[in-house]
Amino acid sequence: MQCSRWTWICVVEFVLLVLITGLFIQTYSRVEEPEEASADLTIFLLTSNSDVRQCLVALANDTGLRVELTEADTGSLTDFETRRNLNMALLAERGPDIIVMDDMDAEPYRRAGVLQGDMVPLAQSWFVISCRGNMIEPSGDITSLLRQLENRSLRFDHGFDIMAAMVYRIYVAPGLSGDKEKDSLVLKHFFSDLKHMRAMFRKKDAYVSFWKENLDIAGMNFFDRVASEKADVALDYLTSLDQLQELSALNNQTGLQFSSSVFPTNSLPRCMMAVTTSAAHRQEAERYLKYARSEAGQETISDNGLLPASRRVMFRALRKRPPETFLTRDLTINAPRVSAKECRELSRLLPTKCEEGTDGAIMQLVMQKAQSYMNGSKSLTEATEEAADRIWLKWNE
Amino acid sequence: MKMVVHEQKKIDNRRILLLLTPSVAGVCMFLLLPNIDVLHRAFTQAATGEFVFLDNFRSVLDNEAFRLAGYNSFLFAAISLPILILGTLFLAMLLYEYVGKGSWTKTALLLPMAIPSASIVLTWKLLFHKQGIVNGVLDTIGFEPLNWMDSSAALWIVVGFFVWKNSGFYLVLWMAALSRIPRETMEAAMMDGADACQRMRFILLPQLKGSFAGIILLAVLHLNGSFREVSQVTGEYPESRIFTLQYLLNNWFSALEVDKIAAGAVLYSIPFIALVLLVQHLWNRKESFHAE
Repeated sequence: MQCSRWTWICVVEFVLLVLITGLFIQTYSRVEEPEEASADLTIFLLTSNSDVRQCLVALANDTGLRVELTEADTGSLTDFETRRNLNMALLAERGPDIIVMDDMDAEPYRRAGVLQGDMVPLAQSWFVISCRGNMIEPSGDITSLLRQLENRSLRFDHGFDIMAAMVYRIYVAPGLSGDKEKDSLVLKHFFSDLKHMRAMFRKKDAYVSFWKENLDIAGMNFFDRVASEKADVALDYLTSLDQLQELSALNNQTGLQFSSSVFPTNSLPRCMMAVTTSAAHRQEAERYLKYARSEAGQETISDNGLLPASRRVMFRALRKRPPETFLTRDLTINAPRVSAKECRELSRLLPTKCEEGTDGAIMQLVMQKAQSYMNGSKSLTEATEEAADRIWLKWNE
Repeated sequence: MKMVVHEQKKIDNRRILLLLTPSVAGVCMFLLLPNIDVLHRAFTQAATGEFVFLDNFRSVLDNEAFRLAGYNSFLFAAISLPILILGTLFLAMLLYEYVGKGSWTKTALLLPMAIPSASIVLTWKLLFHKQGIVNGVLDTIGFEPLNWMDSSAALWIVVGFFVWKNSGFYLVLWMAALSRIPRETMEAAMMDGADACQRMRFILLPQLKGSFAGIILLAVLHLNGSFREVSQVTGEYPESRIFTLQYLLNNWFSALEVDKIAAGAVLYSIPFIALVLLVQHLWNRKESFHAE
């Protein structure tokens, strides 16, 4: 009887051991080649955008690859949690083949050796300011810029978020040093100016909000408001050839002036892609990226609604575009084919080099505190000191 | 006869080993091996796998955020552990003395452990937001509202939360330890005219000495247990006084600083291991003293 009891214990233990070993093997072993691959390529995106998604799929179709897109912000996870999950997958060497690094700081990934080769933007966004009458002068600081804008009738809508983000990038970020006192002073000016700016914006628009993803800006622009004389100044991002053609037409037909040179940083990279070192489909991933950077790939990108990173392809595609009619809230704009001369003009305004992408983590910290100051839940000193404190932590960790 | 006893002992030993095997296997696979991996990574560079000896440790120790987080973690432990352990001990002795076994108080104190994190976080935010309940009450009695989680009070709120959340568990542990003390001893002391304080000092506390080691160890290991709720309230970058090592390790992981996490985790574990060894040593000394 006793013997039989011990036999049972042995059997149960054996089963337990087998289960634990199985679990261990399952956890730590890496399947090199899946038996039946559902996709030839997996791509991870931190921020979801329909245009970007469409482009990635179109590029995959061109290369004859089946692509699986993993988009982070479709679920209920925060950016932080999503990045943690991505890191977990990368460390377990089960990560995606390609990462779209928009809104992510690529440096730690480079340092950790999980990215292979260079990271190149496949597309870009172009920040444009358009004016009726005199163009706004380039200014070295936000206060003088605000003074110029204050006397003009403005059209922004979501522009406040865009402006806040741009002002942060251009005037504030370079001044931050990780020194609590100095940063607090820089932020004090910035927060006061933001509040002042919001007051200006509120004269025109009732709805004002910060956008969490400052780069994920919908494809709408308000230059038509300037063209229809409902505003003197408009600020927006150009993200597609459609918008570029529309702006060019407005410029020709209504005498609207536009420039990107008011701000020193005005082209932001989009679709910063890199192959991971643990990519299960490395060859396919490299082929995909090579194609995406080629002229044919860049054309696919422009055909699918994004401004391609290659200037040559951009202007060639712009010149090839047929005449089009754009219906806006106030105007019907008949945009003819863009001439070579206009392309040259645009080319002169267009910055030659895309800035490096950042993860915007510090900006997010700063904007949170700015918002708490502007909605009255914190005083200026409280908000700036807290922001400086968080920046110090971020810089020193 | 001697041979039979020897054989029986051998069989017993085999049975003990057999019974321990699954547990040992589990510990090896899910704790020991990952820890060895962390130790290995602490001495190597993440990108290349190159052996860098103490470079990772140097970079972690030079890191100002690490030093701040280490100090904050120590401060948090130094404040919250005595409050938790001594507070629940005092409460358990009161319950033992005056309330008895089947009390609803114990159940009520255990409730915080059963409340889901999301509810705790929501309640916390409702209480301590600038426009929250606490500030509402303060406002009505004429005090200035405070940004609780961004002020020096944040540390005390986190300590309070940690104590509140874990007190039920430690109360049960203390109650279990107290239940081993014969009631007759207490009754005899009462008959001899000992008051409540004397009974606590001369009967209860000496008899609880043995449980202290285990409970302290558990409390130390529980120190990180409240991090999830706290981080959900404060985000990744809280007020610098509550920026503890868990925040830092989490942020490093988010930034994929694998070498730093590994070295930081090794450094972080040193005080814990030292404390466990110390308690174990004291425990062994006490055992050998009793054996003599």
